[in-house]
Amino acid sequence: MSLSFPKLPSVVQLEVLKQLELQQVFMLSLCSEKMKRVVQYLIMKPTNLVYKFLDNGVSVVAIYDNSHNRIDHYFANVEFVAAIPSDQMKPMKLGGNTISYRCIEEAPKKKCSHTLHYFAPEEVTVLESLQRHMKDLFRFDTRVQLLFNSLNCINMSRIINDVRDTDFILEKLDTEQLENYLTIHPGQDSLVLETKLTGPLLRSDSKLCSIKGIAVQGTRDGDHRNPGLHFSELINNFGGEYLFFIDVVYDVNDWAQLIRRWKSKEAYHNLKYVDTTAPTGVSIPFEHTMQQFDFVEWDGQRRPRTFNLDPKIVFLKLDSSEEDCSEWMDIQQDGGGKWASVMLSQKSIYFAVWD
Amino acid sequence: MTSPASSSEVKYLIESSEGNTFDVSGAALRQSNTFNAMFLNIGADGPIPFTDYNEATLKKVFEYCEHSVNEENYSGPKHQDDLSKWDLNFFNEMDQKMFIDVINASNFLDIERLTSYCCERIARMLRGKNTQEMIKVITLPTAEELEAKQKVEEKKAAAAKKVAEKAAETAEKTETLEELPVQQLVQTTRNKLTRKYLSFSNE
Repeated sequence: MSLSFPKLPSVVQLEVLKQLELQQVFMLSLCSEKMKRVVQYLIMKPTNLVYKFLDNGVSVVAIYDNSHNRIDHYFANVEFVAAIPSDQMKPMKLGGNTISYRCIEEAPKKKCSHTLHYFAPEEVTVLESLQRHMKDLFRFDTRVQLLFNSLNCINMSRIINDVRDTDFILEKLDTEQLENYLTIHPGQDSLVLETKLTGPLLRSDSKLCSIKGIAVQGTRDGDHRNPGLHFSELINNFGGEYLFFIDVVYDVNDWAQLIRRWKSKEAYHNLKYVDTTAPTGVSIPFEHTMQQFDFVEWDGQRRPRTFNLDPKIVFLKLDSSEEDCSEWMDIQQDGGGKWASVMLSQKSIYFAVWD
Repeated sequence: MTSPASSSEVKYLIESSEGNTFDVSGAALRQSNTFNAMFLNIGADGPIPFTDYNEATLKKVFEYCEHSVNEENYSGPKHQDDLSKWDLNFFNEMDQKMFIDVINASNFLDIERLTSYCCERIARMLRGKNTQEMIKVITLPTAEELEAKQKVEEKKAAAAKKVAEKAAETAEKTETLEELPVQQLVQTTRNKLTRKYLSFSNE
């Protein structure tokens, strides 16, 4: 059965859209300019819009995130291919531009039911048009984030505007390349590195070190777990608020130095929280190094019991947004400054600064 | 029937676009929020006119309402897989035109449950389809058709422009032809007058 959708009452059209998955809504928005306008009336308000750069394509994920729940919807899947048989190519309006494409059905287990194939030489136009199409559909304040599974598209990513957060999931990333990227996309709030850093050491004025929230995530590959000198430089020069090292073999001296320089007010003026955790099965002795500090037990008064954790690092999933610090030791900055609490173990170091 | 409905026993007369009337129970009619807003509290004096919809459509809509009188209160959209056998038969019996008419009537009467099931049925027609298949389902012109249509329109516009230009040209020519005798007339008159003055001066 077929029916003339544009002739249905608006309420019915919107009700139909509400009953569809977001990726089907996206596909409908491609069917005609009229359908795109109908989709605009749906008023979709995801909190985040992630462009995932893959080897030869881009996926767009709409995230609805509140403090209790997070739902990721795969919205669009675009692949750049070397050739498309001309009889399979169909013209279609994407972000106002008519571009030929082919729509391929994916296997049922895939997150996107269909992939749009575009001719590879047109990738810049396609990405520009895709972004415009997304802006037309999501007309409200949506945080734009980039995730890189491949560096093939890192230069092309400059097309995407107002990027607020980035996640690099790569085998390795050169620090110069990273700094160039941060020049292209300034003003980022958070960055996640699931990669091994290579290349020149980070300088104290590195753009990376001034990002508010950074998370370094170890990978299964043993090599990646070793933070190496680059990450020591990152810890030493960090000027942001939240720093996470998860599943990483860390050097306890780096963290001792961080506490020392924070205590003496020499650095880390914006610091709010540090979390460093070793991979499963790895224990890192801390007692000797941390002996230098005059930690005191919590007296139940000088600071609250729980620390509210809101790092706003979108690509980092936390178990809890609250830390019970009743068992944590306290330390005060020199000259009667701020208090901080620290929890030390063979596996992890947590350091929370109280406002 | 004119009484304000509070009992399901009460029957109301409904009038269709053909002017025909038929009975619907108060309980069934109360599933329509439009009816509730318009007639429930004030009562209806004579048949209730739903004259934008034909008898067959209205009967189909109220058949659904009569059936769902005893069902649990509506609690949001139901997935097609959860529909009862009766519901499925109800939808399967309809052809395309009737389905559209039922959606429109249900939307006007604001019968949430029926509208929602109709929408779910449309959504089901779209799920898993690619863009070209979607275009066919919702009978939109394809990009090629739109392009072809645009070309035809451009050709038509060009042809119309040509015709208009030709017409303007013809009109201009006609104007010139029509103007000639007048000019000649004026000239002749002028010549005569000049001659007359000349003759006066000569006198």
